[in-house]
Amino acid sequence: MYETAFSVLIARASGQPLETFLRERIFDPLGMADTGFSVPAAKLDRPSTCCPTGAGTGALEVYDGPDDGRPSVELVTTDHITPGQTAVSKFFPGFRDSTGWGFGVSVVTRRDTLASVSGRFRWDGGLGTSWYSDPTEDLVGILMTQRLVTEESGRMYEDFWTSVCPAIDD
Amino acid sequence: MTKPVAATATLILVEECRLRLDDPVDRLLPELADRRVLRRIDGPLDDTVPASRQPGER
Repeated sequence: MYETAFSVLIARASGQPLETFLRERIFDPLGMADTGFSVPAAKLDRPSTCCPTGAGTGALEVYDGPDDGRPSVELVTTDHITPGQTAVSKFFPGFRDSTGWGFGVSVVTRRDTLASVSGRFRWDGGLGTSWYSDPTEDLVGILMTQRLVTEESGRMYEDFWTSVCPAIDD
Repeated sequence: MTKPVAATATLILVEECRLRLDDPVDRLLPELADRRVLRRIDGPLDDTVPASRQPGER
């Protein structure tokens, strides 16, 4: 619902088909040559099994290649959830203790593990991609497992991000 | 990993004043106008009342 409604909203407000708008305004300027709604026949050997390979229609479902860009908009990185909203929906227990919602993705609001640093904005995709951007460290991390998220892979994500911390060379 | 893409595309349109963050969505998404919502979260699907606020109100 969320992304389908956004897809229609973006297309109507821009006056362009969604795919055209995204390509002209985001993917092409960022050099994201392998991101789109479908995989060209010549590149069919590139997606791994978890990636959608059919043509996208209304729902915003993109095939991401290895060359991803990143948004760096303050609105995306600021928690916009009100206390009233937290009172009626916590997403899952403990989530709001250290996490907020920016426009589009989650933001870390309090450091409660080695890897969760306040100010990072991030998302773990259900198909096995974990990403965050850290404006303070000028760091972008992307983990592609190509496996559906499970409790075990959740621990693997945490180990990966924990391992990134000592790799930062100040 | 489509959320950052949807957010970036939307905020591009906000910067160009083609979308406004706090405008009702009814003009561009009339399908979502005159929303009815469940009276109770665990109530029957036909027990609805007019929505008292906009989606995304803050």
